[in-house]
Amino acid sequence: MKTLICALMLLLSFELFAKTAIIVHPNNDSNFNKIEVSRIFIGKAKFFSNGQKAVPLYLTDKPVKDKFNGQFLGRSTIQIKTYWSKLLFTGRGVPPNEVTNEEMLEKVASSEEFIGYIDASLVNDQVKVIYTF
Amino acid sequence: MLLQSKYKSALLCPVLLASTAPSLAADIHWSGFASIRGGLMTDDLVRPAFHNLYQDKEFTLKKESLFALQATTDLGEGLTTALQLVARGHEDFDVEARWAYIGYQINENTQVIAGRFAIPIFKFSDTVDIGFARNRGRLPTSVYVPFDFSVIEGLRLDYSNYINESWNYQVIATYGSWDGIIPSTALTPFSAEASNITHLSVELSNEWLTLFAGGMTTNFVSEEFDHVLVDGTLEQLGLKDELDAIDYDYSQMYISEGRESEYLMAGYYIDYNGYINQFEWTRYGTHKSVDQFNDGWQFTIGKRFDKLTVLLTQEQNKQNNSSTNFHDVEDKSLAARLKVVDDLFSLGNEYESLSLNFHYNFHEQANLTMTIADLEFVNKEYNKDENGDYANETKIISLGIDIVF
Repeated sequence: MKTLICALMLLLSFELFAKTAIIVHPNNDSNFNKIEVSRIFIGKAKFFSNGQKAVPLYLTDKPVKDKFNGQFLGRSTIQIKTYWSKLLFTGRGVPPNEVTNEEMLEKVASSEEFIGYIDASLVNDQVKVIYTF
Repeated sequence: MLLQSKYKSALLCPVLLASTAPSLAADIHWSGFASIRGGLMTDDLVRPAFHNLYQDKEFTLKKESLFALQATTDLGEGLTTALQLVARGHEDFDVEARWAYIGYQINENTQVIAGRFAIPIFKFSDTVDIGFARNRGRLPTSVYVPFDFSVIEGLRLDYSNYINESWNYQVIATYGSWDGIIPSTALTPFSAEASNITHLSVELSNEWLTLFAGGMTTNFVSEEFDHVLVDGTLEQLGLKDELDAIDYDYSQMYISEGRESEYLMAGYYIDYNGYINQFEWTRYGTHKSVDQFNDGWQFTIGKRFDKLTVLLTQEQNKQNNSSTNFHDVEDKSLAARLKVVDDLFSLGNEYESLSLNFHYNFHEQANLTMTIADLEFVNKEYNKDENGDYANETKIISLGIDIVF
């Protein structure tokens, strides 16, 4: 029974303290601040500070996506979906592609134009972490 | 004109089939939205009440349901194309191309599009069909009169930028033309053309507050309004001969003849910690015409409880009937009868409503809505029910589901 309780507490602590990392290509030498990065993820900024085109990626992993939208963008996932549907159907923007954890790491490692987010425990040395929360 | 105002489904099929064939270059991205909304009125009226579509106790899904499919392509280097097809229940689901344009992103802040597109003559005019994109089932009709000329053919320039870390602004400027049908509550709908449509709107927003204002001017031409509705009404009331006798200048009553039509809007939207407050005001009409200016407004308060949003809205649309001096006749009896013509053209537009709106996001891409609206009319004659009794008050109950895909 003690083992079970410990295991449950350990799981709970992982859940509570699991961090999310915002990642870019290791060669991306832009200056990053939270406001600029937020604007890229909602389509209001289309370039990094170094002049390189910025392409944001969203995650299909719902818990991480909900945490990112809520804590980093300050909106619920449904509000973000509503926001993008307004832009999409009025010619003002196309929502970012949604990818799996594996695809996120693969894409961000493949090109300097991508920026994404992922559970911090999954980060590898092929990507650069610019922000954690 | 760049495109015909409507494409019938037979013409669209080859386009859709062609789009599924192997593409030479860019991939086509498909998306869409749909609303299935049904409702009824608690009385049987002879005509729908002020653009509300419902008019009797029979529950119907046809009035407000719609399906839309959008195909977009990104050709690279800022060039995009889009085609949005909409099929509405109250038009027997005939397919219409609501948006069809080529867009070019000039730089990070500026985009220009050319073709057929919607313009925000009112705050949410360009998203009026997208049920999922709003936090209520039905938009207040006092402000959101379903004018076809909010979709035009022309050029649109969008510019957006930041003032500082908190404030963002957006400017939309549009120029174009339109032809189609203008809905009327007092008269039968009439065909018209609008040239030199010039529109400008500005929006300033931060995390929780949005301020907006805009205006549009145009010149309408409508043989049907001038010579069928106005002349016909004067004839029916026996005024035509008397007016001919005094060589009356009929152009004072027409909407054509170079008269300028104006559409103005302003308001604010607050969403602060889930507390919602919104106010919108609009004024529209044609200068020196029997089609006098309307004032519409809506005031909303509400609260979002996680996935459920509850909104209470008070709204009113009123036609200003004060510019009767354009009649310019000395005979008091004739002037009084011309005033009756004014009333006929205006009182159908006197309307107010109080509504309670429920909106529940049960899915990341779908929501349920319910609206209960209490409607009051000033012109009881216009809202006569099927028994010939006057109905100056009725209710609309509507339920719906909106999805986006």
